[in-house]
Amino acid sequence: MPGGARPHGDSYRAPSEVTWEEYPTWLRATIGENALRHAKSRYEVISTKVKSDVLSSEVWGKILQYRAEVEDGYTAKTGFKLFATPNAPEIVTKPYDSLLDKSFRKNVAQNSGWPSPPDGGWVTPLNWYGRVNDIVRTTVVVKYLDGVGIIVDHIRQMADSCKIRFSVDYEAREEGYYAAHCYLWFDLEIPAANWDTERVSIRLEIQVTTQLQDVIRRLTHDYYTQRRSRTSVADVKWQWDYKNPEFIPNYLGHILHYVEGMIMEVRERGGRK
Amino acid sequence: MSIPESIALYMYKMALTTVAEKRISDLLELAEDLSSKDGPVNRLFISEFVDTEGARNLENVWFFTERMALEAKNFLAEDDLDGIIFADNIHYWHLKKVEFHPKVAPSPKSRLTLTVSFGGGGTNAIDGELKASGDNCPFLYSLAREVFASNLMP
Repeated sequence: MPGGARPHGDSYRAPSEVTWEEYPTWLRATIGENALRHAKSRYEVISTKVKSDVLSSEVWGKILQYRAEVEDGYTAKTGFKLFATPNAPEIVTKPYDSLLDKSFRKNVAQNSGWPSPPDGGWVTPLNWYGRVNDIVRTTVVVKYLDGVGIIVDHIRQMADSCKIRFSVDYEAREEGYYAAHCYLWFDLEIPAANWDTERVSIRLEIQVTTQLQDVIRRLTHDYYTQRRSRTSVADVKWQWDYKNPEFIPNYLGHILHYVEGMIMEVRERGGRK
Repeated sequence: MSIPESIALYMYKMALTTVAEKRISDLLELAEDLSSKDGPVNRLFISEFVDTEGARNLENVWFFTERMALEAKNFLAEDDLDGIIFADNIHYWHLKKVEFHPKVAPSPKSRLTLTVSFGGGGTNAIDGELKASGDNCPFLYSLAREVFASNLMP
């Protein structure tokens, strides 16, 4: 197996046959006992440091500092409030179990080339700081659909002014998930596995979504968690299985996105941009 | 145009964004032009409130000359200005306060609402409502004392 030992000897097993319970054993065999044993404590130290570095960064300070300007600029132009809440967005670190789950998805569940490594190689505790895009993340919630683009532009401008690399993905998933994911790249020094230091490019993920999408996302979070680590493909797609627990919440996501577009249309017809 | 120092100081204390400052500056110029016979604008008040989610909402801005009050409604988004003589023309006022005492520094929870009725509207009352939260409360209170309560109709 390129990039590491095969988890179950040489006998091939489909991703659907590799269980989450077996995954730590596979990972241990791939990266070595030592690296996995200290992975959690190392992650907790590093993710805390990353969060602290991001919080004290110039770009994050500017994003918060000019938040009120963006809000008033939007209100001056449209007559409506931009943000769903006056509170500054809170940066959180990804829980270790969630990170491990994500590596399982990348290495196994969503790895179309299994049992070969995914593009870029296996995602392991030795490299996941640079490979996983949401070790530190936050969410900005706006009231209206047009606010998403306004915030994306604001973050992009602040990143440019601080010479920080920026990218954005406008997510529109089959499961009814809609949000813009902005990424800011931070070149940070973190403790290496041997407790020396190494420089790693780590991303802050800023999810920008609307108030309605935020509500549906909270309601469907459990379904999403169950679905994302599923390795098997259902016989009948959820779109055709109206008793499937995902049927209603997923379509609600699509319907709300459509309704939000209609709200914008009504607003603009009323003379407000 | 240059903004009088007392007004500039008040705007500074209100921690306005540059967007709000620019809007007020533009409206101030308009108010001065419209009330030019009555002298310059010598006082300004921003009516604002804190909503249930804790966000401060800037609503209307009031300009005062020697005898006139001009109100720019929804000032961030609109150019909607009206004016009235307040000198000896206050028919009624009503002050409502929450967690505010004039001789004690306000807290973030302090709230003041002042409702005033002006004379001269015939059968239709001409009313105004001014709101303040937190650090803005002392400014509204002094406005209530010095401009509105002291100008009740004889």
